Amino acid sequence: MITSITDQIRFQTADLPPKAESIRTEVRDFLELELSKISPVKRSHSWEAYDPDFSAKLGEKGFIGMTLPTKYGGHGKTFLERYVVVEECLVAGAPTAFHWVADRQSGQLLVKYGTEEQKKEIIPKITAGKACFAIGMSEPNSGSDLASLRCKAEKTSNGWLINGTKIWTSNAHRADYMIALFRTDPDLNKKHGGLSQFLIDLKAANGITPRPIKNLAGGENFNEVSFVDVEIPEESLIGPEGNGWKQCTEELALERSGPERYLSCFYLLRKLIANLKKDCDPSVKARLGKQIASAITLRNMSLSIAAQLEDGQSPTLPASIVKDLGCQFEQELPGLAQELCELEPTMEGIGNEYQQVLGNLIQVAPSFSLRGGTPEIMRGIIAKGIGIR
Amino acid sequence: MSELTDILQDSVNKVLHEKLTWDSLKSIEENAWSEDLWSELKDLGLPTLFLTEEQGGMNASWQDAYVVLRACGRFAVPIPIPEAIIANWYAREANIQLPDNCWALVDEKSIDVSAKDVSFNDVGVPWGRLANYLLIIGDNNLRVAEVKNKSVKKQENIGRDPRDLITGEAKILEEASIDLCSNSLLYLGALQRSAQIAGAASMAFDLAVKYSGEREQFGRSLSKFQAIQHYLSDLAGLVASVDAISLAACNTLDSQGLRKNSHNSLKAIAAAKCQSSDSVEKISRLAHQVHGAIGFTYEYGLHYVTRRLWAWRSEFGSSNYWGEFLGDLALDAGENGVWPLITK
Repeated sequence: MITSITDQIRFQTADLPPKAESIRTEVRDFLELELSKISPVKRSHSWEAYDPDFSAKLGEKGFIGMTLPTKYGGHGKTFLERYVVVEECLVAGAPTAFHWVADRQSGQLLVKYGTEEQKKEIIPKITAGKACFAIGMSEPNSGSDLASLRCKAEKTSNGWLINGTKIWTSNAHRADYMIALFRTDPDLNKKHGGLSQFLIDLKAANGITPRPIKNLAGGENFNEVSFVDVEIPEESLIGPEGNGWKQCTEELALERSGPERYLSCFYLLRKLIANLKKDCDPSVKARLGKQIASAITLRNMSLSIAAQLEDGQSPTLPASIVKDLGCQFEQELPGLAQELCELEPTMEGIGNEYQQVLGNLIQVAPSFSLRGGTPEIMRGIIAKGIGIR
Repeated sequence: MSELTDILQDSVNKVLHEKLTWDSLKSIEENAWSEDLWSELKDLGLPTLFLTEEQGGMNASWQDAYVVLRACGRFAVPIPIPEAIIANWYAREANIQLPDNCWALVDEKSIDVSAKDVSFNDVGVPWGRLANYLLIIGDNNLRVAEVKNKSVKKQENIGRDPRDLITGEAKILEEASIDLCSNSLLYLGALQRSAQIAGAASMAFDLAVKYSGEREQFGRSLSKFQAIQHYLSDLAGLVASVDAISLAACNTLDSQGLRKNSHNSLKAIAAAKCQSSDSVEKISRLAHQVHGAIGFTYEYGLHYVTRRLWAWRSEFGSSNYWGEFLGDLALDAGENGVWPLITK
């Protein structure tokens, strides 16, 4: 075999342009100032920590909606400039959950498929860090098999009528908007073709009841959301009817390709380093160093994807690879920390910062390989990409 | 990628694919050499690709050289082309021209250089049995020496590539100063092996994909089984990551050099060899698992790459060695410095 199948999944090294690098210091200085009063446990939650005040301040600095067009109040910056802001926020443990989804995918989606009115009304709120978005994809009986979903939107004389249930919907109990995937064609044989995407104003619509679901660590971020005869206006449909699956796939490429897929535990790695002695056992150093090597590798791959996005490509296969590898990396870190350092994981307020952060992340780490698509799904996409499925 | 990278990629892969069939690898393994292959690859200008155009080379960058080093791993090249490439990089750095067939690299620390002519005792040199010259790498200088007499303890690594120990004397022909970091040979050796691992890993993966499509059990090809698909997806990710980090290290070396203050280059090379050595275990295990018993036979040639993967994994520093190197950097950098260590 002269050429390799892997030639099509090569991660060309991408260097950040000087204008992207120059943002870094500005972001670091801002974060150092803003985060000093936030508790270590909240910081370790990072992109799952909800803090509208912080998001508004970040928006004021011009660090949200950076790639969105200036015409609608975005900043018209490159994906690589946004990349620097996002990775700095993750590593510093900034509470970014309020604006995370809007900044990462909803804004992009609206720019591409939304109406002129939607863009004019909503994009400025996103860039200001004042719009929180939820993603309505999973349902009680449609998890990894998303296309089997049954939540339906029926056309009425002046809009759409929604009935059904969504689940694992982060922040639905406090978000401003939800972008959701509903079945608009009841023929289940049409699977993908019968799905459409909708923008729902959660503050305006009636008949939507979010029920927070407590997770094993005690947190209440995600919800089961029931829709009972919810009437939404005609223009809530995003993109053409029946195009929802394709749009969702594009959204998932953004959702899966970012640095949050390997950096969720980086704050813990920092705290671990603070609690290891410089003259610790060489085998401990070697284990730590292997994590550093993996982090450097994953960052190179992740950055390469950002450059591909900037080029206008849709790197579904590379993104699935980085999500799969990145998730293994971040999920292993709490367990590894326990092996390298004798300090026990503790509840918030007890023990030192490292112990509290470990206590939190070791409990939430199982979710890392569930959110945004499981490894089983990622490997299915990779198998398709390399031509065996 | 530069135009030169593309040309090298196409031409080298094509030639190596034609020349290094499993049959020819078997025969070269028995004879420990192939003059025919050596002269063909020399005619292509591979050993001298780093030399400037005036020196008769291609003025290649490390990213250009990477595709050749990787191809050498992919096709299990059983002669010291990678070593010759690195020897000529040193020649370009020192601005000297090497004698023909000067590719045996040795560290000054392993040679007695106190007299005008040097002596060496049980020095490890890949393909040392054929070395007529030594390129002796010191921290500040480079010496070209012609071997006057030598005795050889013939040895091979598990890839069956010669890893001889040589004893004897050599005459210094030329000495030149270089401005490089300490132990440059260790770093370049590690990078070379990383690139070779990336290549060999890509071949192990391709063979596994091909075989899984051809072999049928329970009425369907192996590649249709989800368990096998997951093995192969896992493999694809590992192979891509080893390739990405090795290429990135070459990129850093191109922009930052290998001088005393090129900390980012040393770190990038450490990360590359740590990651590639660490991945070898899983890559070779999965590739063999997909192949079943046939991959364990000598007749089927998966072993030409997997045996080399196992050998290269340990040469020029294991993942533990480079892990400790990076662990020290991380502990020195501390809680606030570890992220900047990664982004630089």
